[in-house]
Amino acid sequence: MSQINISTLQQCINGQQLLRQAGKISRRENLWLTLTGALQTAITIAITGLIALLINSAVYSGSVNAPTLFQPSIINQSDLWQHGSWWLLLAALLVLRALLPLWQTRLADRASIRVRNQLRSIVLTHCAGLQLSLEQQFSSAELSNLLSGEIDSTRDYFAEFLPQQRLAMLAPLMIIAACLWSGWLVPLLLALTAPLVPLFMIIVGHKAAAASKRNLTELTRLGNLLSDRIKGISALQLANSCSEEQHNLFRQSEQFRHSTMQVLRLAFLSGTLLEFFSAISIAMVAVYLGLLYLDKYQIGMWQEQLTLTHGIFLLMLAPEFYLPLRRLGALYHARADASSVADHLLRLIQLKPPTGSAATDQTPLSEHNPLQQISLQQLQTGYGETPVGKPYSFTLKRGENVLLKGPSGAGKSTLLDTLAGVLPAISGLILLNEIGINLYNNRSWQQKVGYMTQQPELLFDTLRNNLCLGREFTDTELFDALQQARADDLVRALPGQLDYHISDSGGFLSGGQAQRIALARVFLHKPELLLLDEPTANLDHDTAQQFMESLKRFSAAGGIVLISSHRDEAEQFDRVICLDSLTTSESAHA
Amino acid sequence: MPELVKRYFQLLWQQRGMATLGLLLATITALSGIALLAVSGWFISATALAGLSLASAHGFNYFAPGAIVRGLSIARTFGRYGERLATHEATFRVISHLRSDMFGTLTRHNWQEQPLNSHEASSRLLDDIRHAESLYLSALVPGLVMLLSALLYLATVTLFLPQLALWLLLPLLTSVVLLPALYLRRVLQPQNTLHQQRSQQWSDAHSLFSNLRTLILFDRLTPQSDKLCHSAAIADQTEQRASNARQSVHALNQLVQASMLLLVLWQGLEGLATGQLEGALVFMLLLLTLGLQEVLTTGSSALAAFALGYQALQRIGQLSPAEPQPDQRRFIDPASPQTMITVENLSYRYPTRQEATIAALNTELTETNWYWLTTPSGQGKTTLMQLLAGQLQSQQGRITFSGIEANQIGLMPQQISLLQGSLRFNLCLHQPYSDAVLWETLKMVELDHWASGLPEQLDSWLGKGAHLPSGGEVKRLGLARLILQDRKVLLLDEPTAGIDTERSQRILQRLRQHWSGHIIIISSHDTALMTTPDIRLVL
Repeated sequence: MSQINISTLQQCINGQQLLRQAGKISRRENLWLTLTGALQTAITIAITGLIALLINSAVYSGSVNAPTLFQPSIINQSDLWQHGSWWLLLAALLVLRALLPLWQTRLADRASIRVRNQLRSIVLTHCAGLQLSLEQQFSSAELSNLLSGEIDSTRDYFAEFLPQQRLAMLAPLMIIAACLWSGWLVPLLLALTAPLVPLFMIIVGHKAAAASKRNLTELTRLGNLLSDRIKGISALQLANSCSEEQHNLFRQSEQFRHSTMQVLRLAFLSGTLLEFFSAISIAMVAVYLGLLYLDKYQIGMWQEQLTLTHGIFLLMLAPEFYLPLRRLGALYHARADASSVADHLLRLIQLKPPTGSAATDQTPLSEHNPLQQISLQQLQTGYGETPVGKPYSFTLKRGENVLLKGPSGAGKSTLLDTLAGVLPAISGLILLNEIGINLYNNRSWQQKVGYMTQQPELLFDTLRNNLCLGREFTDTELFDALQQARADDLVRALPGQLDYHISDSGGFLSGGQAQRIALARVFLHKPELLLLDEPTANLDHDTAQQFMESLKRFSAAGGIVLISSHRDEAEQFDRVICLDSLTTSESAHA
Repeated sequence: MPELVKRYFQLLWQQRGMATLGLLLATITALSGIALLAVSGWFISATALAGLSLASAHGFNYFAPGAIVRGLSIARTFGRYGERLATHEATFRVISHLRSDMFGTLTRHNWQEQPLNSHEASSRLLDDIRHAESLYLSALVPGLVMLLSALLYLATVTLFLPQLALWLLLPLLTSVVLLPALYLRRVLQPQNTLHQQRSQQWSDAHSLFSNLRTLILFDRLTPQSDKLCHSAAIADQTEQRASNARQSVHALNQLVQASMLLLVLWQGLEGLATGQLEGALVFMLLLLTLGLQEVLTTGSSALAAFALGYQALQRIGQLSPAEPQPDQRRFIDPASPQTMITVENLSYRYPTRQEATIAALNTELTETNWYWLTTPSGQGKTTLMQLLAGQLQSQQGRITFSGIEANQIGLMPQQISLLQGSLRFNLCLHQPYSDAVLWETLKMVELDHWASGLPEQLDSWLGKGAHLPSGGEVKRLGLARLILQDRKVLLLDEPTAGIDTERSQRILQRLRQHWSGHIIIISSHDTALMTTPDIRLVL
């Protein structure tokens, strides 16, 4: 089985090339598909020849009006159609032709599934390496669409377009060769028109590709607009501007229609061109043969006296000549779609993983040495090369409950990300129990961290799976943790309780409820360092009070708590670190 | 018939000019394609036979058939182009209307009780609605063309060789009626399963990418990726099953058509031998059959396409109840200068909960003042606000407003949704306000500095990737929206969450002046923000 690795794909300069590389995964199936297609064409040629012979024999045996022109060979043929064996052969060929596509589809589907599976796993592996730097470039909705809808939509390209592409070259050649049996003019006509087709298609195709890209952008825009406005439907309702928005959406939809029609006008043009050649070739062959039979001229045939067999044979094959090309033309959109998906994929694949990952320190932290303190020394956080906030230095000690304050943009969330080891620091040092350590991607460190983000992260899964996240806990332990996070009553009221399935936009969970579930998860896993980003933003006063009590119990048991918050709750904490003042003190030192 | 399907056909009827043109061109194209083959077949066999004797060859009029053949080939080419353009144009026009209609229906419904699944809703409005286009494009047009062509074919065959027509009746009926029905049965079910599995795949993908931090920390990135690959593989299998089913019906169709071909050939040759049929007509009938087969092949999926489109419309229709809930609130005496709110015996229970969130609440708000709801969360503050605003409808009791109309109640919800668009759009939400008014409002909520710091000020784009305001800034944007809307009764749900106390005090001070003479109901646990004349409401 052909495999392909990510570096091959990363080197591609555009989506087209990526598609070609990816197509190599199913090289064997494609070869088989081409062969079957060729067999299919051969059968068609045989069927055509057979029909021509049968009709010819019957017509001439019946036409007693002109016995003088009968040649010996024709007389021998004349009762051909009364032999059952010829009919059996014809029937067998017809059945074979009808059944071959079954096998073809099976192969084609297998090929496309293989390719898409590999693409998916390559992309996912790459995403796992990119970690948080993924967020900077791609929104989660965009990635979800890429991994579900967009890669899926390349089915037609890998299953049908790729094999058909080769067949579109091979089958016409076979037909030309077959036509050479009766004469040279018809094959010449076909051979002359054939290069015109791809030529025109390229000319039209270029414009169509550009238009199709525009159309896809338009579609994405419309899709984003729709989902955005549906998300914000309540804001529009409250502002009484639903009908205006509806009108706006209609306008956007109309604009999409215009751009789609523009694409189609061009796309259909290439189809029409093939249609034109196929129709006109039938007409030309018919008129040419007719005049030949009427002895108006004598050109292009091997024999002087032409039988009906040749005429029938040529006329029936003429449309078959363009059929593979017509099929390819119909699949042209598949290529255009796949190529824009490939462009998208390429943009993702070519993202470089964060530089810090190279120097990942995987020395396991010793288990029996509990976390005593963390010191930050001139730690500069940021995304990639872009720093967020200033370099900070402070120390957190075991049993401390610390509030991290600062205006937006001071780098509170980035600092928490860095401490959690999901974001590499740009510069500076982190000391753990006075030993320098690289936290980024450090598995044994990450297991000691409990982190609750500003937007509570919940999977579309059962509550139980959301809490356990792959580890084993008893229901009692789960409810204990829920109780600590003041979420036990809330869970008991849900249908199915722990087996309640969270769905898109949290199901029936409000922002505050989701936050409490996320908090329960943090308590459940008993971290040594607890990082909380704005945990009380959605909580009312009483709940926030109870919540602070839980935190005090947590830190009393030896944990470290670091909370970022906009609000003024200084009195609740052992210590307040103000990022703003750190900045000023920092500049004073410098 | 579902409401939406009816609506679809209404819209199609509105576009009947274009739709009929498409159908007409499709028929012309199909018929001229068949005729082109048949006439060419007749022409060469006739000339071949005529060519046998010098005399008949000389007298043969080849101009007319030649011209007909050329004409038909041109008709087929341009007919096809026109047909495609016309049918697509008609379809897209219908879809455009349908999409905005559907959004309109969504907006007439309240989504507080049963939150709208926004991914699903938007994917239905975008993708499912495109399945709906198959109703006309891949069902009605090819279906009708197939029926018409088959009838004409049968008539032509009867004209030349009646007993052949009898023979062909069975395979033709199979091809036109039986096989499309079989196709429908075999393909519809896997297609539906596929739809569900693909949306499962989407939510697995979304779970993965919107929970990056948690998954990394718990080392669950790989299991979650595997889960996604697994659900994708399952969906792929279903896709393959659907494609196999499609192909097997297609193969059956090919077999039926092969039998037709054999029948025509055999009966034609028999007819020739018995002298019932002229020599030139055998090949003509054969090509006529071949031409028809192309039409039959495209038509065999028509019924299934119809069903798919029908189901897609049904799915979209299920998004929202056909009728919005009736407004339970009462508005009396709107002209009265005195604004009053009376709540009598009001009860509300969420459909998923056992207990009522608000039970038999009685209260009267007679004077214009600030009313504070300060009870702990979970006791119905937000629910009461939504009941007052008409976003929820009570099961019992009554809310009566006097001195105002329904559109004079404004609510600032707890979650302010930022829409994709400029700051100006997010403030105005399609209502016209002058720049001066906008700046004044921004100043009131202390966003003027922030806004003037944006690169294009009021026209700066807000949202992910551009300028994402912080939580507190979003809250203040929500307040600014409400200030602009100029309502008489104002409901503020946690307006100061995420804003520090000093700033909250300053902003509320300004609002007290701006909204003097209004009834304001505010829910907050920041009791420090209350002032002496304010009234505390107890739930």
